[in-house]
Amino acid sequence: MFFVLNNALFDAGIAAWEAKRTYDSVRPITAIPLLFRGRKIRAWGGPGKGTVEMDGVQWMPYQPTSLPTPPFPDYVSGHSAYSAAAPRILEQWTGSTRFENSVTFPAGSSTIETGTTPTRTVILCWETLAEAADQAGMSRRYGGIHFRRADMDGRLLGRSVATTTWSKAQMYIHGKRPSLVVARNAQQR
Amino acid sequence: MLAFQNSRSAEKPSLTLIAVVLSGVLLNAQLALSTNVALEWNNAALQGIRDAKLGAPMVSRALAIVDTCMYDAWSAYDDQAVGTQLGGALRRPALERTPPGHRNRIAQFI
Repeated sequence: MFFVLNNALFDAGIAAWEAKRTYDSVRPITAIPLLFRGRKIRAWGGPGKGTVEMDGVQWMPYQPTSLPTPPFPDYVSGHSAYSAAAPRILEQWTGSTRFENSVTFPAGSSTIETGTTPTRTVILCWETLAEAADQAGMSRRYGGIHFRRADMDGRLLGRSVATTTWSKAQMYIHGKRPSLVVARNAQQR
Repeated sequence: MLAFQNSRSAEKPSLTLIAVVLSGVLLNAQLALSTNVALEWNNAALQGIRDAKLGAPMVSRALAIVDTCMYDAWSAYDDQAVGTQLGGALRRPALERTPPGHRNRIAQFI
């Protein structure tokens, strides 16, 4: 299981970072202050300050002020790609889509707004692995570090990579070397 | 059980989630309380990653290398499976191989 799973994650990471280098796309932290400079917006005012009115140039993502955004491009979200790749493998390995797990965050346990957020205990729960993966991708948009397309296309890329990784791993496990099979098919054409 | 802590990367929560997913599957398979050499090596790799504070692509690479090594070692003792680097060249004599009835049980850990 770990052989297939971790190679799917590894390949998902390679594919995601290849897209980042290829498209060299802008992050919200750069685009929003540039596009909304001089305009009033309602956005997060900083730790403990909630939603406030501000000039668009002051917009900041909902992240620790020490590292507001990762120092590499937006498209696609590595977080989304990794998270979407894993369920594809685990579902096929276990023969089930069920996850039925949850994580509890006590009041005030936020790393971004420690002591004030959340105001009461929050429980995140997921019936399926795919639900958990989707929420992991969505978290990057809540956090203001990825645009929607980077999240959604990241998920798609992760699933696609995992499907290919699964097939390749099955060939090894069942005694066929993928490179030889590919070479033979090429000769037949 | 497989928490990635102390990472400085803002992408850290993805790895945490993957770890949560992994641990959930292990619980479902009722393996959480048992241990085996594959889990021990994975846990050692995870501790190394925590200590080194790697970024997400390097984390996934490190884990893939460790688990590919384990798979290649296992495949030499299997009747069918081939290794990723040397194919079936390292296959052990029939007497040393995993009995067919145990194949799936062992493979699930690799």
